[in-house]
Amino acid sequence: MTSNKSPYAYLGLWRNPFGELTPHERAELAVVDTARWEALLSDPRCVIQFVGDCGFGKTTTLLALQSRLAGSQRVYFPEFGPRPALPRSRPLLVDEAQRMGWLRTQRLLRGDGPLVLATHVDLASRFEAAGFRVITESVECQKSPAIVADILNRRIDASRVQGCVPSYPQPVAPLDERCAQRILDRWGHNLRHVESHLYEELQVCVREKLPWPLSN
Amino acid sequence: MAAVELSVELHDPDKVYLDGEKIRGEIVVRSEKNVTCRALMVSTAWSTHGRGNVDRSTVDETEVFSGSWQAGQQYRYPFELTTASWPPTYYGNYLNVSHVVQAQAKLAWAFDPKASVEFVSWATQIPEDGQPQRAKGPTPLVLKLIGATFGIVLLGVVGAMFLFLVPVLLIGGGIVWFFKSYLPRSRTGKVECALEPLQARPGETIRGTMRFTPQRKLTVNEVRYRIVCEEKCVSGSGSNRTTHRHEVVNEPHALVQATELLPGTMQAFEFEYRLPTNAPPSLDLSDNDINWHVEYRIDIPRWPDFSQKLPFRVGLGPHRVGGQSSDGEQSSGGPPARAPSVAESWLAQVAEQLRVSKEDPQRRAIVLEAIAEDDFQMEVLIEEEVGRPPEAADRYGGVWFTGVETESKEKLIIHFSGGISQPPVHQKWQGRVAIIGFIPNSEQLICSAFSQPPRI
Repeated sequence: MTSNKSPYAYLGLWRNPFGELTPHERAELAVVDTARWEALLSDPRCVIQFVGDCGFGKTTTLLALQSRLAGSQRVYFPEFGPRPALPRSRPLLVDEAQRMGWLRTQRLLRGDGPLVLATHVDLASRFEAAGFRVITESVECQKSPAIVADILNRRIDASRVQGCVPSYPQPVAPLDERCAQRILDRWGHNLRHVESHLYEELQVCVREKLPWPLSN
Repeated sequence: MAAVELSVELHDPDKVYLDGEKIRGEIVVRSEKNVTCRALMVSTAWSTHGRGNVDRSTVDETEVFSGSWQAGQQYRYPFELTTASWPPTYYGNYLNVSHVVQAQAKLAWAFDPKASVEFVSWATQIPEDGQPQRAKGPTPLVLKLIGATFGIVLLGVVGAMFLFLVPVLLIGGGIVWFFKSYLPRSRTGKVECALEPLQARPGETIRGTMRFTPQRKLTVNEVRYRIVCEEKCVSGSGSNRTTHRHEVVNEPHALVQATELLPGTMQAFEFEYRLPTNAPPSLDLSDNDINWHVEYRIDIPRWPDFSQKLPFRVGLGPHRVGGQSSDGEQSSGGPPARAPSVAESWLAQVAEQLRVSKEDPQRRAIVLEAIAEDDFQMEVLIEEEVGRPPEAADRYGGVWFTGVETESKEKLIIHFSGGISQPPVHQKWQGRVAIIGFIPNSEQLICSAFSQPPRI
């Protein structure tokens, strides 16, 4: 996108890269080794569960997989309100699987996969007892600076204005691993928190017309 | 290398498009390979970006080409599309609204290239319902009836499930009412707050009143009103739903300071508040809002305060397009609506009024007299020491410096009297100043510093 109107233009951006994304953008920009999971999901008795707290990338991983798995369907279980029906299509991606309830869990256990679950609670024992092969991935495991730099740089690139360099006074340079490590040291590994803090920091820079990232 | 590269060129990229005007330009296609294009689509759209869930809509769309492109060739396709009449372009802190022309080529057996360019959209009128046009058709009546029936059944089922919570909710609600309403009113009596108009435009004045009659002697720390403009953006969904709020304007004003109010005597307070000329317009988009309200407060020591919020809507002011505003006044071109700081909004207004009165000394004198008792908190980048300007012949002693106000970029000549430490040149200085004059030729404000500033 080209823009001379936006306050972000002096950075070569058309928006703050760390704001909210559409689900489609989140899937497109996600750093997920989908090839690794796709190979496993050829087995109809396979269940992959991503376990962890909010903000570590469970839903983003499911969105990325959904965009790459032909015929897949994603279902989300809210905290309150009626629970949706389970689609019949496979692979089936279940977001907030710990909220499914007994009835829907039984339906999944009696049926076939492949299944991909995003859950706060480890459901492996139940699915293994039903004869599934369960692969558990903890999303809270610390992400390497290289991966974090890749995640953030994808968001920055998606927010760049066309013809960025050399047309704009202070275009945002790609973040390197050292910068990513400083970000992790400062704000931890919860990516939602990292993005929230980076959003605020960049907004301050935009108000003051400072370069970003700051040298510290 | 991509098979095809697209770009969008507007005929008038700096124009501000009003009220759904047509936008014209060309899609430029550079083909690196022989390709078949099933459709080259161009559309206008608006979209929010920032902390809230993205809200967007396509406004107009057309196909400008389908066919073959040869390697090494460049093609140009003109287009003319309608722009959105609402919402207007806005750049804030948590909420931004951008308008774009976007092009996409649907290629056979290749990645579909895209390109887009941003433009500024403004409006002179707000839609009656405050809602933007959305590209969807009317919901069939049958679907509406099904939806309503389902909603009623769901409400009954959920209501039955949560029946046990009713006493808890009643008790909780009662406690809130007791502290926020009953207790304050036991001291103040019934408080009547009013505001008019409930819909105003930037630069216009709103008037508020507060009346109450205390039933017994009432000591107050302060009676005040506060003007608030807030960006409210919601991100996520379900249990991850988070509301982000940013106050664009937060101006408290005291109506009365600490005092004792006699029982049985009606207390009446009135105020007038002039909205900044670049006040953000009220916006009601999906998960992205800009809301204005006045909050009245009676600050009672060692007792719950009385407070009441009255919302009001702010429309759009005349937009300055190429020297001519949409209401006929001559003025310079202006940027899209963006969140102003308090100091910037007032200073910008004053500076603009002085520039407009460049050729009219009488009008200039009226403006200066109107602000004679006002002062502004400023941060100024001090440039160099200069002599006393002729327009300030009545000011003796002290030193004069040229400078630039860092936020608004207004050019200044600023006077520091003998009692104030001289600022070092080429550094920033912060403090309070009064505007005492204006130099028409150089469009410089003449200011006088009158507080001991902290150095930055």
